Amino acid sequence: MGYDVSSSFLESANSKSPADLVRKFMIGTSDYSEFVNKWPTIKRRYDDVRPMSVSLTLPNVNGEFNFFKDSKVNLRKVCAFKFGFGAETITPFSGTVKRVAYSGASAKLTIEDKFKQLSERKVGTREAPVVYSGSTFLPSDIVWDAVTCYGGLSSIESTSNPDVDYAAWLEYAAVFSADTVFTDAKFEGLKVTEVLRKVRRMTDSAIFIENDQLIFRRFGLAETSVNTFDDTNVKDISISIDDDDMINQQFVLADFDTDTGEFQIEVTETLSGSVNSYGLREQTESDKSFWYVNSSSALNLAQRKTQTAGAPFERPTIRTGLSGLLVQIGDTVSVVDSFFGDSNIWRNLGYSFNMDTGAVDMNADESQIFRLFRLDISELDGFDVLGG
Amino acid sequence: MPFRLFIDSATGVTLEPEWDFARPDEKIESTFRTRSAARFVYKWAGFGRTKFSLNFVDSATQCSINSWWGGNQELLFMEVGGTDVSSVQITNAKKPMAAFNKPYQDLYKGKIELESY
Repeated sequence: MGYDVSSSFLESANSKSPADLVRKFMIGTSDYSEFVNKWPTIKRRYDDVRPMSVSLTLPNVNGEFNFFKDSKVNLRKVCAFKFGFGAETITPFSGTVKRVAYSGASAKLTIEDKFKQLSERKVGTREAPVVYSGSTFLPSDIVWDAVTCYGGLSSIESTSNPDVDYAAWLEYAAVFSADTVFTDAKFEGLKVTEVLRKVRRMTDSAIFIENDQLIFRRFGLAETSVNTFDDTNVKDISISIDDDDMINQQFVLADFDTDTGEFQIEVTETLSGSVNSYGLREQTESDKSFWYVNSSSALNLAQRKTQTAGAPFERPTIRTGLSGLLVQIGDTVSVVDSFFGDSNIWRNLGYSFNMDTGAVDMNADESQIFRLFRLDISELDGFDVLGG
Repeated sequence: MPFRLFIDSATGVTLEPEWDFARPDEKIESTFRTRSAARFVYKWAGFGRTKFSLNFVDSATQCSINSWWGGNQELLFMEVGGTDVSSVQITNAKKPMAAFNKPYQDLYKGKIELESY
């Protein structure tokens, strides 16, 4: 997955000295780019389901931005940051104004993305809860309802949906459908963003905004298309390996009875090789608002959690220039580095794009790649087993 | 070589810059080097700068220049007889024509700094 751009855009992004660099700040259809003195840094993560904001301090010497004060509905105007080359641009960030602060001859705007709307609306109430029962709902059905029926985003069921990446949602739904993962839920006034956070955590999936669209993904096998970086386009790379994140025995509580307040099922998945190598690392996942309806559905999560956290995986931070701009969350990357050598394939799970300098930092992760076969050498006794 | 600093065809002054005339244009860009020492440069914008000294400027010209400086007047600048016209402002930190040319008390000297906008 990547931005839908032309080959010349790609060429410019990878160029050492690209021509016709364009940065735009739009409020509605009006271009206020010339007022921007310092462009913001845009940060995204696959698991950060909350409004992301950027702030801009703009000169207001002649009252150019008093239109917010003069008519408060102007706060609802869509503000967009565009970046590109010549006439072709992408939109790394878009949102509506959360706050305007006038001070002296300047106006400071705080702009929040589409999650802002979802953080302002609720699903159900205590008196009239929204209930999903009958064991026939995929997690994807529930998040679709949450963001469209209750969150107010577009419910167009095609790729012309302006708010939700429908193609990605279809793939997301297909994953749960193929694995026959069914859930029930009962929401009594949770904010839409809270519902999304619960579903994200309980399904170990990715929910984020890019190109001003909500994207749902459940990462699987590494794609065949890998973005490869090397010493010619990497400023720096650092790798961390964190023992704290490990889970090799996952409990999942399922089949919640809303009358008794008790879970009826507990499943367990244990990765014995990891336990032998690193010691027991246990975790329990349960939620009384959103739960799996049967053992097999719950086991789906338990197995996924131990696969993604059963070893201390590499988590690199790759610092590049604009050649990293088009690597979106979920894309796979590898680095040929003179110090670390050839890397594994990692998945980009977050990034920070500094629109002021063109610097892109990618936060990748080895854990969210599912390989067809993974030999766990920790299960081998030693060299004598290999007959060496 | 004379230059014209003016608002329109009716309002302007003709200047004779000294030999320190220079055009130190600037770029606004970000640069970094990769691990293989490859240099990447992102040029966001550029602007023109012109600097020169003036001597023996009459009081009318001196008043015009200082007034335009004080009001951040948008001006045009070109070489007399030339075709290249720049849109500029006088960007000196302090009043540009503020000193007499010894021994004259009606002729002034100073340094002009112009930047495109």
